Amino acid sequence: MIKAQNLSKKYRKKVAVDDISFTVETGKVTGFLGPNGAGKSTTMRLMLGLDNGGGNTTFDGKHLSEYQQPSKIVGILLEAKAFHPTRSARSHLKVLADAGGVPHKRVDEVLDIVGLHDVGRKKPGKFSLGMSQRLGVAAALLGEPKYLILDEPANGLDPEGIAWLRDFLKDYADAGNAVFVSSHLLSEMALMADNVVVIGKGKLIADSSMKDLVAGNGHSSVFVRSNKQKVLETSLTKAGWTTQLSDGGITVHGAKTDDIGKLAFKEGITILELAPHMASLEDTFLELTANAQEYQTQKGDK
Amino acid sequence: MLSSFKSELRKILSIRSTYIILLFAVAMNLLFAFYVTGWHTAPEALADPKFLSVQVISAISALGLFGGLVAILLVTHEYRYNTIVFTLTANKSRSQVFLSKLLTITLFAVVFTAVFGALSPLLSLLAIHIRGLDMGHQTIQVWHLVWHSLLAGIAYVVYAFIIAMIIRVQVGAIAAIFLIPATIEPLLGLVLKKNVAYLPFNALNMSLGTGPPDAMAISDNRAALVVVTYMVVGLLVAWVLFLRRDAN
Repeated sequence: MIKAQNLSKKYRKKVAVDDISFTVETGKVTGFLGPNGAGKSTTMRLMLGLDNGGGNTTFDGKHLSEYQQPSKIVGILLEAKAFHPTRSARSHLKVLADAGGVPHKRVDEVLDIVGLHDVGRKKPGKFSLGMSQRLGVAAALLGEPKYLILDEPANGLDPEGIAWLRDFLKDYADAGNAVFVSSHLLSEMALMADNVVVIGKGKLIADSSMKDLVAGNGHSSVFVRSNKQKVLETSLTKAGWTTQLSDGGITVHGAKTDDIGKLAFKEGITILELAPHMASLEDTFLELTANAQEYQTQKGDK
Repeated sequence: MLSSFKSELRKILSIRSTYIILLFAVAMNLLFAFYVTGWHTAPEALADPKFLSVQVISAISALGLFGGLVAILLVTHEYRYNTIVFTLTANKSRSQVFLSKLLTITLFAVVFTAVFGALSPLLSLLAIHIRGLDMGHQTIQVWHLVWHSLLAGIAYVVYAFIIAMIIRVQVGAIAAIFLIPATIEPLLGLVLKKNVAYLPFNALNMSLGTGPPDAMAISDNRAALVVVTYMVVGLLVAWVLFLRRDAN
């Protein structure tokens, strides 16, 4: 488990990360969400000791510097184009393999994994963003680390690449590892992440499972249709739930399907249709970060 | 530590700029040692018993800058292309990274100095031989020449390393390594008068016997001590900054 405690970072008077604590569980993919400028990259850099700030991060109870071979503990991708443009992709990985004490045969293995084997001898300066991301993922995987910390790894990937990355990261976590990944592709995150950490303006907004986060969102509702709409609506309102007539039925906010079923049974009402409507991760994200947007567009501006 | 050192060495050897810089150094050596000194020196100058020693010293003095450029690129490329994040997370500590880089550029400096320290007099001798001239009896204080040359070769590279570690921006560091000896130290000389010999690059040239006019000179051994002091203090400052600053 990765345990980040009281992470904080200030740039002169601006607080970039404000006393953030969370955990990244083994065997799970943890999504890291936040608007632009929320402090996601800075938080990741603090976790890795790349930036000097407050707080500390442990990997299975130990600081990264306490491990003999840190590259076997954590693999990172913080920037897509973090390589020398004229050093070949294979040489780039060999440099990193040497630094981490990883045998060179692993270089070919990771190039195979990310599908860059055929361009290993090419200089990555002219790689597309997607290819650069793949090289970054290869670098992160070099030491076969238990933990992966990836900042926007899906940026620039084509649909096949995104699907591959999603499956790969889920499998990686299922194999007993942990993945901590940030992304603005919320639909992808919804499919991939088990847990979510949300930050805004440097502050922690949410740290929970994806299911709980979305279920707890105000946009979640239940659609119900019955043989006695008026009676049911009155009963639901009396029970304290907000109702709204729509599409020949009633949309109920704040209630679960079980609650409505039980109430209808008690009132002797026949339920013709009962369907939960879960809010999307996007709805949840926008609601959670509504007041934490650092950079916001003006509605109606062209 | 060994793996970190191997990685740093591979960084130097796996980029094109290292070889371009070395090619420039060889070209300069051919031009000055072979063509200017060997081909165009007056026959009577060959009678100087220190002719070959001067060739070695001139080569180190002129080409040390090229070794310095390699050291600057080793450090500044890490920040320019943000590979420093991999370097730091793959190693146990920043001190280990700092030491690995220092060892790598020191080894590079030793090899660079040895190669060009030997190549320069050999090229001059070759040109003289082709011209059919003979050289007078040579007096070479081998030990003195070797250690002063090595110190100067290493010092050029370590100075550049310190500048790169402090500035971290490639253009800024390269500008500094050219401007400090060529502009800043001569300007400071207007104020410091004879004490100009105690400035880092002037002291370095003094240690090789190629400093400002004799009236201002200090002994080569004293100059060497000044150079070592600058290196130690500079490395300490660079090390502390490397530990404390954000890696970007």
